[in-house]
Amino acid sequence: MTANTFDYERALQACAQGQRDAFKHLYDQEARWLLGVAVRIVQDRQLAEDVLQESFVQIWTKASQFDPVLGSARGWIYTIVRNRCLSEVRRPGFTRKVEVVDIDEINDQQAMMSGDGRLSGHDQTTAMALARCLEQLDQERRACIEAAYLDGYTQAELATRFDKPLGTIKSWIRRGLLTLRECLK
Amino acid sequence: MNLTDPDDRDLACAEYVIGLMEADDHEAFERRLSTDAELVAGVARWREQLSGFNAQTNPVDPSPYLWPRIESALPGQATVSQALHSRAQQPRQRPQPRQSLWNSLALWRTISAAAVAASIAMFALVTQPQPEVRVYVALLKSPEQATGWLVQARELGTIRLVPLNPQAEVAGDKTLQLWTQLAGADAPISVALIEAGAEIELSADQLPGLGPEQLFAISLEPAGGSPTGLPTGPILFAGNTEPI
Repeated sequence: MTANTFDYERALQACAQGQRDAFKHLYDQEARWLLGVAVRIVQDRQLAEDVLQESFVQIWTKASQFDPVLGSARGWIYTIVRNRCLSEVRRPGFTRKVEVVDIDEINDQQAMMSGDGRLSGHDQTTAMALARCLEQLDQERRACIEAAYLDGYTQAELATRFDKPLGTIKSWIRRGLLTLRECLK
Repeated sequence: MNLTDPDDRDLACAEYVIGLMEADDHEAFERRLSTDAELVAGVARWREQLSGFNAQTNPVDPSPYLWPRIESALPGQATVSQALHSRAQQPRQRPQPRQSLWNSLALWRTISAAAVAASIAMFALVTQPQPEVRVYVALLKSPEQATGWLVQARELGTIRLVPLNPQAEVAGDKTLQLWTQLAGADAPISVALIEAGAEIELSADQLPGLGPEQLFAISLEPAGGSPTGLPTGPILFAGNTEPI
């Protein structure tokens, strides 16, 4: 698997210094993946684009405050987008469909979109460690954590989605996270 | 929310990163982040470890107009958006004194409490949505108070008009025309000609502005729209925006 060699830290540093072309380069590199994350959570293409617009403005204006001690630049960028998406779906009055699925029929976790050039070597290692540890979870616990992260579902929405009591969902998530933590050490 | 038990503290960090906290807990936890180095380190660790999930979603190609919209919303552009964003704009800073950190990526993997302490106060703020984007709705009602259209309008983003009756029609020699009147203005401004019964999306920059208590109205005009720049036919539906 070839590795992505785009330098996200350098891109943010250039943005912090006001270099528009570096910002455009960052957009060209990552916008489609970020939009995919946003569409998955807010479930609306147009809204996802609005959120992405706001996210990129925030990335530009806050780039000088990115601190590499606290995590990777790529992680920081995804955090901004995810946080905006989660804010959207948590707005009072925001409604979205939560389709009920049978938790026992959820297949193996989705494949990592880690095809050629998608992730850096380091990110591939991180992604593979997560995949390996998720496999060790009981299937319902894994399904809850994946749906919470990828779809941005609240615990109440997970209870609806899997048609289980809220207490069961909370317990699955707690135990799943504990197992995950031990494995990721 | 228990933040004394070590396991609970660490799981709280995970839940915060994933987005599973209830609103009250979320706010309380965020306040704690500004003083609790261990929580900040926990959030940073879980964030990186769970970042593998970010590789699991399919890409979606953005529309070609997304980049121009982003560009026009950046501070420094002479547009309406500049005024809205100026309060969030930080003075352009030189890179932080920790210049050497930019050059040694390995450092970010070893999160020491001492290094973290220096960054705690900014940690949550920098990744939280700023500025908070305002969203408005307006119900456009007939003189008899029947709702005909719903307007959902997003600051700097998309304006969506949804007809409640998709079967509605107008005569062939007529058209519907959408108007808006800013709070405090004395006349409406034409926004677009619209089709009866059809949902439509507009961009916020097609409006003269967007705020609370802003009137949206739909009038019935001759085909091609009002010839005068003001409504000439009856106002079919109207309503004011409210923030949500």
